[in-house]
Amino acid sequence: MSRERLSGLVSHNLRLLAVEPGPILAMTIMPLFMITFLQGMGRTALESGGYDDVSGAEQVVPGMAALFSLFGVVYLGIAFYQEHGWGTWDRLRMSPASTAEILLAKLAPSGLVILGQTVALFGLGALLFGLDVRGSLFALLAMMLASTVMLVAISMLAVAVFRSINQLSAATNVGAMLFGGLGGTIAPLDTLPGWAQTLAPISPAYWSMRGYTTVVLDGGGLADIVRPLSVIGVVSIAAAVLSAWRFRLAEPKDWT
Amino acid sequence: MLTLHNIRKSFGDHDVLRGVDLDIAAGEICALLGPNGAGKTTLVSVATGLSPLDGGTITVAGVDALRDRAARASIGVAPQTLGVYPTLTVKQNLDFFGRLAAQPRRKRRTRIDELADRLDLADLLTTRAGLLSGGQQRRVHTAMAMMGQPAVLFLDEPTVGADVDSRTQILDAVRDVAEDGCAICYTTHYLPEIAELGATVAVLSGGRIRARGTIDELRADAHLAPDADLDELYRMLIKGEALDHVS
Repeated sequence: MSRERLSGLVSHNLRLLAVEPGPILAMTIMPLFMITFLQGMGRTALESGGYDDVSGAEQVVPGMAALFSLFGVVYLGIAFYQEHGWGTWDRLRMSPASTAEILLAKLAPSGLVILGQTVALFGLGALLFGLDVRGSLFALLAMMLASTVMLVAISMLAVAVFRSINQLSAATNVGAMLFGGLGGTIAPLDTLPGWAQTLAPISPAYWSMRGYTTVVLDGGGLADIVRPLSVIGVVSIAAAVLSAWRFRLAEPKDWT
Repeated sequence: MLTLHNIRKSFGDHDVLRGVDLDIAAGEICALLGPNGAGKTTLVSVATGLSPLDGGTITVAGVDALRDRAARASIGVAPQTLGVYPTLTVKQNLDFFGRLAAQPRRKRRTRIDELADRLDLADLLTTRAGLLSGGQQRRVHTAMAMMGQPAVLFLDEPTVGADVDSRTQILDAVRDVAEDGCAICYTTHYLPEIAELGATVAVLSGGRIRARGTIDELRADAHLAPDADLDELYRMLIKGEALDHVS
């Protein structure tokens, strides 16, 4: 693997994201609106759950960060499928770049954007909505990193499975709302119907939310989030293995 | 410089390439001719690593190009389908291909200027590629393949869709690159283009190279007059009526 070539590929993919920033801006601005509208509901829910001295941001900021990072699956889809639409995918494959370099350079920028979006939402949550992180900031960052890695692995699996950007976008939208809702990102878990509370652990967002709320609301540290981190690790590995098994470099993809 | 030996490729029961042998010397432009479906694009695909080979070897300066990454890095390709990054400027497109070839920054800058000059892209370097005309995009597409100063260059119908000026500029650039010592495999359907390039010819038919030589040699083999119409020679070549000369 050539460091020069890999850095060229990564900066090229970051540039492609930067010249068309619409999707990233939308995924960062929309949750801010949602936080504004849902903060009161979040405060009421937390108070009825026994938490004192809360602003509501402790529920809705992690919730919206986790929900909209699920929508971030589409970033990797865009990065792959537009290359097919532009006729540049085959040129990349015929270039001196190795398969590992090409894939790594696609995955890393998507992960950076998802992580950056999450950090930005927590930062703006503290600045604009009074988010108070009671636990360890280090543990919070570890949770963000682990969730990002999991989403990148899930994104890669989605790219491996779906044939077109339209299929991937539709599945991402439905999946994000379903698993985000089930995971307690929109409303706290204990306000969900009983069946949803039972099914909640199948959602990756559930484990992200569990880690975030342990740190943000319950004042937890790294030792308190070992279980969600472990589950997220297992999901990440499973998604990575499945995508490596299913992904075909030569498989045609539709940008439209 | 480039040696293809016993290249074989099948799709299901259909044998597209049945043992292609082809040598192209440094500085030579070899026009690969053949009727539609003869396997020209398939040959380019397997020779550049895009599709796996069923058999055979590809060497660049004696080194196995499919196993040795450095040898593979010495191959440039402009596929038939246009491939440029429409949201990036012409300069960014070219610079990226220079980085793929691991060229240092200063070298990339010099090379971009050279190619911009050769292909009349100097005034377009800061323009987004997606805003260019079809002919201009075709020139950028070709320049991207030339960016890494490859030892071997595959150009698959590089003038398709190009206007007269773009076509002339592309042909001039191809000649210049060959003069720099690059071995070029150039697929086309147009014999007049081959004559303009001063290229040798390889005729791909029935999955094999059936004729190989200069236009004059092929004319002589076909018992045509030295000034015989090139279209007539082309028709005879692809119909197999002048396929005696295999060198």
